Amino acid sequence: MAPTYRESLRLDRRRFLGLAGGSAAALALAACGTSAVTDTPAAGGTAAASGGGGGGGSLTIWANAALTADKTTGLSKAAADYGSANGITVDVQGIPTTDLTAKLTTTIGGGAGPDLAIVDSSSVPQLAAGQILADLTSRAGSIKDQFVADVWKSSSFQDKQFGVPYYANDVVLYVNKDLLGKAGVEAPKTWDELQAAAVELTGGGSYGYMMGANGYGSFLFWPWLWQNGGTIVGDDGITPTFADDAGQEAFQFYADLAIKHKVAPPEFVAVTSSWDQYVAPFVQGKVAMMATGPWGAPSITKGNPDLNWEVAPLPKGKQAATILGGATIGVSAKTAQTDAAWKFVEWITSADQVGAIQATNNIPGRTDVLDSAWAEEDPIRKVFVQQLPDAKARPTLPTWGSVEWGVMADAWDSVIQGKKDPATALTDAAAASVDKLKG
Amino acid sequence: MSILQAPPAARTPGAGTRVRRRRRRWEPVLYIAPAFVVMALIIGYPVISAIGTSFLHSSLAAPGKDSFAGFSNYVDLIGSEEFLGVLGRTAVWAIASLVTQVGLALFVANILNKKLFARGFVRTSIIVPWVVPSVIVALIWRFLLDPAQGPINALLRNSGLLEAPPAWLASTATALPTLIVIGAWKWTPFAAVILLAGMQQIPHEQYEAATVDGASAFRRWFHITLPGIRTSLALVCLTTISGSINNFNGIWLFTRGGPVGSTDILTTLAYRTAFQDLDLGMAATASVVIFVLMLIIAVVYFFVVEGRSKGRRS
Repeated sequence: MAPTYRESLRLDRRRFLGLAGGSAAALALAACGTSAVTDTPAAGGTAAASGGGGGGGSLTIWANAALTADKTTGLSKAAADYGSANGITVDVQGIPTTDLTAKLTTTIGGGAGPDLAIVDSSSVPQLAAGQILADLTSRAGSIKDQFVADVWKSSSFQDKQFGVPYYANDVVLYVNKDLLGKAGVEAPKTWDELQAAAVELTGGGSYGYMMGANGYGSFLFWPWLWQNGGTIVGDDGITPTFADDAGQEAFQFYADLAIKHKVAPPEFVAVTSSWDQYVAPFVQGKVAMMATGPWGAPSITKGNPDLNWEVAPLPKGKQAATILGGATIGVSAKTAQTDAAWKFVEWITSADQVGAIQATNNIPGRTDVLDSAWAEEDPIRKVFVQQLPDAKARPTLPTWGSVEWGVMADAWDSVIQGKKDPATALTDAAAASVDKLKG
Repeated sequence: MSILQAPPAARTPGAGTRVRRRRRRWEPVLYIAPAFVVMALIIGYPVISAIGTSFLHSSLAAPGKDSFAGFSNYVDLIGSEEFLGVLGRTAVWAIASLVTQVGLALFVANILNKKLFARGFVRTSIIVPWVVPSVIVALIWRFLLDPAQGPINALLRNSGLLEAPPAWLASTATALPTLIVIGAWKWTPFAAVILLAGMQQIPHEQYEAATVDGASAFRRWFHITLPGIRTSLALVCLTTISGSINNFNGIWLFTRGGPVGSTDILTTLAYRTAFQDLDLGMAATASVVIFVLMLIIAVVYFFVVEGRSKGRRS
């Protein structure tokens, strides 16, 4: 998932129940003794070969709870398959995204914690600098060429590799085909078209475009900044440049949608804690367009399967641009099972395991898969793949969260709360970011 | 008195007596020593470690590269623009929580102390909010207060009370007051139960005597109930105010200190500083400030309440 530092509490409860069930199951398994689990598949040819790597015969993985919500598919299923083929117990534990980075920092920092972790790629710098994830540069070199360069880089920090991309994603435009069709509006391709369409589609209880508050608002600003030729930081990688002329123009355009044209439903100011909140009005058919990544789709398919929707590339400014997101699988810096863990990393990120991620509409960072017929199979997947070359990564700095979810989130909130005008808010945010980004 | 002291005999005891006496003096210490050592480690180590860290430049992004900072973390924190605001907001939050929770608790305890229909059931059910886990409390209230789908705003709109009710938790003007109300919902039951226990200790004869003397209900409450529950009341005030200053969940699970810092208190500041800015030294400094605040409140409590009750006993 992309920048979900803040996850839904609603989801957390569901996941918590899942987690509780999961840990109960894990306890039950532990009580049975590992022999019962590992002995059964020992007939598999590879079992003997991998036996030496693990030693203890078990690996623990912590992942964003969204990836483990369903025990029978995706990651959990893949891990179980790997376990039975290799005579090893792979225990996948879901941790709410909000807690994952802090939990890894405190447990692995204290010498405990899991052997592997699947984390939001944006938290790789922090976990790398904090010596929580192991430096895998020497091992990863052999598979580097199999990945799209920018995606590969998103799992690195200061030119060292701290994991392998598990999946990638980008932000696209979701459109409600019924609302657009009724108004005779085409999916917008430029800023002007977006604004005009959003204004046209607003009225009578419907709204043209969805926006977020706090970090959701700041996160969704970056595409407009890049599209206008702006940058978040300068060439030195730490000096904030997002409040220069290009940035101010983009921020004004973005803020005007909310405060001048009022194309978003008024409750968008309360979208502060989850993407579920952000997508809810679109799911209910109340909002015609929204910008978000693949993590927006499950709410629609579960909450309102009849909704007539599709995705389109983001409208273009001076150039096309969207946000590169994704997840990285890394190895604990403190585990004694680096070899066994790395073997699993290589296996789970191989082309054969794409099935485990495709249900989430995330896409692999592997060139062989992206260049194959797989990329064209599904109309939604196709747009995510098509936009990937225009996707840019946010700064890879350990303290990036304190800008995106701190000063910039506050700046955006002060604009939508009517406390500051956009220009002042952005200038102040850039000034406040100088110290934060130095770390 | 002088007979009991018998000093000459005690000053020249046999060797066996001396050993026994010494043992008697040390025995209790030995009994509590294991518990004391464990408590000292569990409570003492983190406190000392936090105080130590507050004098370091220490970053989660650069482990093992701590350097001595002197008082610079304290100077930076206290000199920072946001600190005074956060300190003031912590005070508003703690005092408003104290007034609403203890005020409501007095009222509730008073009612529960009377003869009611199904009193046992009512007494038990009133503590339900207190036993609900904080995360569930957040879920419930965030649903109730949702600006678009929540029943509270729907009620306000449909009844015509408010044409455009605010997004309670998402507006700088209403977020903190809303959290104070939610805090009162969750914590009043606890305070009420303690106060009710205090009220039940008051001998009923006192009320009967006062009634015979023609004292009004108000006078009975003011002159019998209030003095009677003084110790419980002081305890409830102490736990409420320290609990509020330390109440991280009651804010973080709803607003994370936002919007625009309007619900940011010392604990949320410390957490953000540690896990968002990765500045452990500064986060420890904020924690030490919280610790000192607590210490002041605890000392005041001991001097005012414990001191007074000791004075009364002698």
